Amino acid sequence: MDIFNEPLENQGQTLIQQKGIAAFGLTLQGASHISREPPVPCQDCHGMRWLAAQGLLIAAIADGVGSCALSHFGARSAVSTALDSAQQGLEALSQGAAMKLSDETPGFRGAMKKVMVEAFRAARQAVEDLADSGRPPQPVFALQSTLTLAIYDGDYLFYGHVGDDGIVAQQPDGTVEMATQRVKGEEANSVFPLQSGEQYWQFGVTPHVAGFVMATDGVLDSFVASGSGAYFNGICYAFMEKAMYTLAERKPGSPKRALEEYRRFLQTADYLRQVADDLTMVAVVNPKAIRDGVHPDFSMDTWRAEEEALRQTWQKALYGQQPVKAVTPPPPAQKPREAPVEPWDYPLYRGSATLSFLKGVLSGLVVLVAFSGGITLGRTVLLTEHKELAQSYSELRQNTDGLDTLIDALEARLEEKDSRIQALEEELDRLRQEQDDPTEATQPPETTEGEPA
Amino acid sequence: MIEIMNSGEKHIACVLLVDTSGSMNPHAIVELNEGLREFGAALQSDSKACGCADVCVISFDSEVREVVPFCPAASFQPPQLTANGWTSMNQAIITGLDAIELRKQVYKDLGVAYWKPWIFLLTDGEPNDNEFKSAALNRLHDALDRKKVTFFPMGIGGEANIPLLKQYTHDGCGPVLKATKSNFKEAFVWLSSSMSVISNSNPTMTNVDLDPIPRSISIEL
Repeated sequence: MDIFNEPLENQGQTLIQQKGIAAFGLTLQGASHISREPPVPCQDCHGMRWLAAQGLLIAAIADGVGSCALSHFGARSAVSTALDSAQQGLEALSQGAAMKLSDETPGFRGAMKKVMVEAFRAARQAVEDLADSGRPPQPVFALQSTLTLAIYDGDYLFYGHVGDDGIVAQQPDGTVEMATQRVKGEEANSVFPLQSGEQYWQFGVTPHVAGFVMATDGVLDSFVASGSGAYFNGICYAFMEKAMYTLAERKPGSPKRALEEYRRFLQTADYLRQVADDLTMVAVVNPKAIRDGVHPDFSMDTWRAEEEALRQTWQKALYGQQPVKAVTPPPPAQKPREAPVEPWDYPLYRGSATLSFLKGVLSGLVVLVAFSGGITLGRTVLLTEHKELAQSYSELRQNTDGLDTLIDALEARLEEKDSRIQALEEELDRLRQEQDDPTEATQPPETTEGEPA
Repeated sequence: MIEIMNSGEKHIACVLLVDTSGSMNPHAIVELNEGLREFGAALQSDSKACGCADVCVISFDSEVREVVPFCPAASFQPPQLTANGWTSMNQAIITGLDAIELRKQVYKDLGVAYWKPWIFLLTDGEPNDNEFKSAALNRLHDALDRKKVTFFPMGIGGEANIPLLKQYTHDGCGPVLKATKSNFKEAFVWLSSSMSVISNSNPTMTNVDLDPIPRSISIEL
């Protein structure tokens, strides 16, 4: 059975509470995904592990590209493979001993970067292998996703990142800023995924981190300003403050309390009014570092005032007139969240066209409407784009076959030339031998006019 | 208490290229003006699209004119157009693409997020400015190939050259809308509702389901 016809549920939660580390992770299907017919699976994924021997927390998040029909599979594969690879790399590096990420010994940081790079390469390869394993095989394009990976020991944070997810870190001195740099395309709906190429991958280390939040854009966009944010480094700290300090409480069960608070908040009408995308948030703290550190000095009033001033600046720059009052959009229509998604039937576009065709056949009037109006321009664009992608993939495969044939032909010609060279060398050797010992000559020497025979 | 920031609208720039050549007299120009009125009214009735959609209207006859520079849908005032002269469609396409590039640069300079801009072209005939055809085709095809713009051409009336309009679509194979001269204003309502769908959609869901095309409009695939 085709693996891509199996249902896949990426929604979930994880909790970790160890000495020195407390964390929660949460992935929720977006309202816009739920409300579509058929529903679109949750294309976000997260994973988190505690490596007890090393004393390290590793966490990964991925956001499947919205226009890629199988990106929920890609996101899941990227997260699990990145964590597997990172775990193996760290276990080998530590040789079973506890690790301090602040290690200043020469070569340590290089070794850590190697662990990260190999994790990303393994994730990319795993997604390619997964695409090939489909029946029929699928283009890797259909499984694209972002990826962000973190390795944390309660003090230093090593990270790898590609796409428009991100990590926001809080330091003991009260500084809060993005650890990663978001990689987005030109338009609001474009992104550079894991498969864009290694030139888009970022790796780094942030020292002295008391806590951090990793999030996909469904969450990140709600508290990290795009463009240059003047106040508080563009971070609306009021969003993550609760996570940091609840996790840091000296009470058992604090990760669960923090998780439930954010689960409730992310499903409120107010939040869904602004964000309909899939939601993934991982929050991690060193409880003592948070409690003992400086509480970030953030004012929501100041934030709102700066926000309004910026909006007015934009309006004047865009329209050169009196600013237009901000409008409050209505909440989107919501369907109640249900448990596991229906099996995913790829290709999506073919299924939609078949449904439209069947509706058209049922009645004469519906046929007329379906022909002229039921096949919407949007689905036409979908069909055209899918056809172009399939054609490009087919052409690439043909080109690859063509290249193989060309290589075979060139190799055959090289062999032929080698044979000729060998024959000429043998002839040359024979002639040299004849020159050295004329009695050995088997053919009379050539006679050139004017020269003695 | 958990708080979030106001995310700010993600803008969508829409350029309407409308034919005001002499052949649009006497009825089609009336239909066009009514269509633009309904377009504006429909946009303003949608609070989300109101704040997100930036609209520009460029008319083309013997000249190309930006009759409505980019403005928010909330303050879109439909122009009262008259028909006269030839059909400078190619120059209009170049002007429309220039307007979109400038608009995108403004968005980038401000750090404002935006969806892929739209160009909606309406014509009842074929262009007379063929010396600009090559430039228009090259620019438009380049933008379409690099997915920098979404293009909706519509031919109205029996004299609209649909095969010619098809040349302007992606790879020459894209759909072209078609309507009669007396019944195409519904296309503007559909356009405004489509922009509303985009404005209300999740930006990462690039393939959104637009409303069905009105029955008065057909699609040449």
